[in-house]
Amino acid sequence: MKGYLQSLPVVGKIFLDVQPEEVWAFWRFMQDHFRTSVINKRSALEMQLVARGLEALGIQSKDRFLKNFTTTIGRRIYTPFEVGSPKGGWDLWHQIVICVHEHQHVVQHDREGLAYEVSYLADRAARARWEAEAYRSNLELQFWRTGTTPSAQRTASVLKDYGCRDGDIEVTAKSLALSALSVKKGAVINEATHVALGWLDEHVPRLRFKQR
Amino acid sequence: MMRALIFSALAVLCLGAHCRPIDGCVRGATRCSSNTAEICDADGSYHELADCDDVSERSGAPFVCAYVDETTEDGHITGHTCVPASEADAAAGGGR
Repeated sequence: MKGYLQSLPVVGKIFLDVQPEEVWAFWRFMQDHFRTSVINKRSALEMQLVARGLEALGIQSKDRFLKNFTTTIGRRIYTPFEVGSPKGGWDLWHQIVICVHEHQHVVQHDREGLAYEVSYLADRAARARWEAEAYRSNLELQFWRTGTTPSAQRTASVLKDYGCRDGDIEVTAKSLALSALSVKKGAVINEATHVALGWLDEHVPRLRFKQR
Repeated sequence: MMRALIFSALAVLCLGAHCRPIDGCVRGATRCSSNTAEICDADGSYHELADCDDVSERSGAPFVCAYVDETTEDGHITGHTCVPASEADAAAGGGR
């Protein structure tokens, strides 16, 4: 909803908490730091093929995969939005959060090598683990911005969309709840978050939650 | 040559996916292994939740792996995670 409001001509500016050029500069910084590239998901042939495959397997509809999910393969990040252009479901702050989330997947790729990609595809418990770690960046960013953390249970439940089992979701919820405790005590756990917060603190400190 | 390639590919798949030894732990159980918090996954294996040495480096303050028992908006949370060393010291002192 917020992304839609931000995208409206003329009045959209009222709903901008972050400026489009700030979002663009942030993505540019993260891409330079992690040596990644951003590709429009809809126009990427490989993503069209993946979307068809997922639909054929009954895992997810083609449209939903292409519109609602950002996907990272290696150092290539496929986004369903143009960076810095808000649209329904992708407001500007959310574009910053998803940037950090996807770059944590790049950190996993660098840390684990091919084993990361293979286990992500072949092993549901492993997929839940990789996503729990990446969603921890969402949690860390929300804490930086608002001083609160999202519901661990609600965040973990999105793993249903990733083909994970109830048991995987239960472990992910606990993992996120324990991470939230550390974050509230001042911990920065993820590498991508650490890099991101350095930039955000320097360039957009006004967005940071202020303790009263 | 071909056989070696097949074995290598299988080894990579194996290491990456299912062939890791199972710890036989209870789903959601946690523990500290050195200064790393670990959590047991749905397949019964412990995996890293957070390396508290890395957390210390990124947070600019010392963190240690410790057991927590707290009630938050997520409910009653118990398990091992990284906490500030000062807090862990205080808890240990209080228990003496």
